[in-house]
Amino acid sequence: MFRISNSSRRSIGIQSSKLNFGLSQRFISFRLPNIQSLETVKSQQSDFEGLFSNNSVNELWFKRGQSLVDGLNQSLEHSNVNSSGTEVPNNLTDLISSTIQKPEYYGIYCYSSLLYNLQFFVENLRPSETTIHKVDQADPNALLANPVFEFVNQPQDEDLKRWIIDSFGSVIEFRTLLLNSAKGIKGDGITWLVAESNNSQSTINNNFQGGKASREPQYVNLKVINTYNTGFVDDSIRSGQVNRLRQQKSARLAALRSKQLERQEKENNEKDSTTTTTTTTESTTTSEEKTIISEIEEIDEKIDELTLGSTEDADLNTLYNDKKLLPLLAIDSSPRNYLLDYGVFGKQNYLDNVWECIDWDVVAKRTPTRTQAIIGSLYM
Amino acid sequence: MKPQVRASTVLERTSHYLKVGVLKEKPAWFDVVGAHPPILDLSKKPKKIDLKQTDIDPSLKLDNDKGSVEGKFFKTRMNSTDRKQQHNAISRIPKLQFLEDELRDVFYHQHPWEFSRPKNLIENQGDEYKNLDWSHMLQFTKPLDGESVVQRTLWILTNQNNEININNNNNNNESPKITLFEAYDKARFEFYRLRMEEEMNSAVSREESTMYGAIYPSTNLEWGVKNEQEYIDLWAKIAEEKTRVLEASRERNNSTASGKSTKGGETGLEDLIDSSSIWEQNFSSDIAGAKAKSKLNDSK
Repeated sequence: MFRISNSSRRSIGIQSSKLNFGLSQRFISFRLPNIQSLETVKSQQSDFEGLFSNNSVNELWFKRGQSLVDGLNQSLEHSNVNSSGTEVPNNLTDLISSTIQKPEYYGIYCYSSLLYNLQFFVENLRPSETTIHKVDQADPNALLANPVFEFVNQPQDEDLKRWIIDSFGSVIEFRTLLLNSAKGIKGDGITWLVAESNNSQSTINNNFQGGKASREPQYVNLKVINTYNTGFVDDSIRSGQVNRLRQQKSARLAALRSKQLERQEKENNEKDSTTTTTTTTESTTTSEEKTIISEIEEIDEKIDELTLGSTEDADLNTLYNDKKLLPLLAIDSSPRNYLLDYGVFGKQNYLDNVWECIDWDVVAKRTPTRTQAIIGSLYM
Repeated sequence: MKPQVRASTVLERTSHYLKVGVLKEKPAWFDVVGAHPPILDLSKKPKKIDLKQTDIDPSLKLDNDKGSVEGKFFKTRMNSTDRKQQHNAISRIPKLQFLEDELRDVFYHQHPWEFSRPKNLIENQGDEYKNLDWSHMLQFTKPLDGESVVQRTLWILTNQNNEININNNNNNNESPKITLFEAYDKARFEFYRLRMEEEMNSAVSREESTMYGAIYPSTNLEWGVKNEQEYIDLWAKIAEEKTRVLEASRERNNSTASGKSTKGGETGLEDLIDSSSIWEQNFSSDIAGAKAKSKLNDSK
C-alpha cells in the first residue's frame, strides 16, 4: 500500500529487544532515518543547494527530527502501550492510524504524525541547480513582487505527467494550485498532492462479494489538500467524527431507555408480589428514576428531529468523505522552514524554490497504478 | 451638451416668481445674491474665429455695391440670423480621449463581474496611482482591481525594454517591440494569478480556522440578507405611510386641477424644486427615528 524508498524503510526500522525477566516484553523505539542528501549536507558542511542553508538543514531535520523522535519514544515509554501486551505497530503509518482516534494516546499520535510528515517532505526534495530566488533574506518588497511564471523543474515520468495534466489541466495550473494552497496556510501546515481512490474505505471494507482485487482501492484522481499542525492525510481514518458522536449519543439514549423500562417492570413485579417494601427504598428508586428521566429529556431536547441541521453539520459530514487518499508529494509551508533562510517576507520565494527542488523520481515511485476506468467516474 | 446660460439669471427668475406668486417666501440667499449679483457670465459666447468666414461689414458693402438701385433696401446691420452662432463645434466641450479609458473599457467588458466587487469611492486628488510604483501590480495602498491592470499595462508599455530584457532571454538578439495587446495580456495574466492567490488564501484561511475550532453559523450571503431585512422591515412601514400621503395629495390635486388654469411659470419651476434628494433625506432620518423607536420598544 504505502511505499517508502528503500533507504528509509531500513532506517526507520525498529529496535526491538526481548528482555528475559520472566515476562516477555517488547520495547519499541524509533530512530531518525538516514536521508542521503541531508547526510551529505551535514558531512560536507555545505548548503542544500537551491533551498536551504547548512544551518537550517541542521535545525529543521537533524535537531527537530531528533527531538520529535525522542518525544515519540518518551511518550511510548510513558504510556503503558509497551507493557500492556498489545502489539505496538512498528511503522509510523500504522502507529498513527491506531492512535488517531484514541485521546489517551494523543502525544504518540502527534509525534508520530509530525515525524511522518517531516520525513515525507524531506524525502521528496533534492538539491537543485536552477533557483528562481537566491537563498537569502527577502526584503518587504517581496510581498508585492510579481508572480513567477517561469519554472524549470517538471515531472519527467510520462505517466505521472499525463495524470497531472488530466487532473489539473496542465503542469503550470497544478503548480499554481499547489503553491497557492501552501501560501494560504497561516500557521503550521503541509500541502499534499494525493491520489484519491474512487471508492470510500468503508465501501471497500464492506465489499465481500468481489474477489481480493476489488478490495484494493483504485486510484482515479489526483488532488491537492492541506493538513494543519499534526494533521494526517488519510481521510479514511479521520472521517466520521460527527457521526461517531451521534452514534454515541443515540446509544446512550437507548441504554437509558432500556434501564427505565427495566425499572418499571421491576416495580410492577414488586407490586404484584406481596413483598413488603420499606418507604426508604421506594424514595431512592424514584429519585434515581427522576435523574434518568431528566437526562433523557435533556438529550431529547438536544436531538431535534425536525430540523435538517446547520450547514456546519453538513460540512463536517462531507468534509472527510471516507475516501482512501494516498500521499505522493508534500510541501511544508510552516514558518520554521522559511524564517531562517528567507526571513518573514520570504514565503513566496521559499515556495518557488521548493518547487524547483521537488524530486519527481521519488514522487513517481510513490505513485500508485492509475485506474482509468470510465465507469469508475460514476462512483465519484 | 447644451451651454448652460440659465445659471446666471437665477436672480431675475426668482424675483419674477415672487412677483407672480409662484414662490411664497423669499429664499434665504435672495437678498445676498441681490446685493452681489453674479457678474461672471458662465455661458460660453461663440466667437467667429475664422476671419475668412466672417461676413463683410455691411457698411462696406454699402459703398461697394455699385449696382444699387433706388427703392432697394440696403443691409446696414447684422440681423439675428447673422448674429446667430455659426460654429457650434466651438462651444462644444472638447472630447477628452485617453488610452487608459480604452483599456478600462476593454477590461471591464471582458470581466464584467469585476464591477460587483466593492470599491472605495473616496479619493482626494484622483491621481493617487501616480505616486505608486507600477513595476509590480500589488500595491500596499490600493486593492487589486481593473485599475491595477490598466496602470500596469501602461507601465509595461513605457518600460518595455527593461521588461523584455528580464523576461525574454531567448530573444536577446532581436529587440521586438512590445505591442499594447502584449502589454495588456501580460498585465492581465499577472492579475489572474494574483486573484487566484487571493481566492485560495481566503479558502485556506477558512479551512484552517475551522480546524482550529472556528464556527461559521451563517454564510456571507445569509448574513447580508439578514442585515438587509432589518432595514427593509422598517422601510416597509414608512413606505406604506408615504404612499398613503402621496395618494391623498394626488387626489386633492386632481380635484383642484379643474378649477385652476395652467400656470405660466411652469417651465422654470422644475429648476427651483429639488426633485431628487428630498425623499432620500427624509427617508434616512425616518429610518434612524424608527430604529430608535424600535429599540425603545424592545427595552420596554
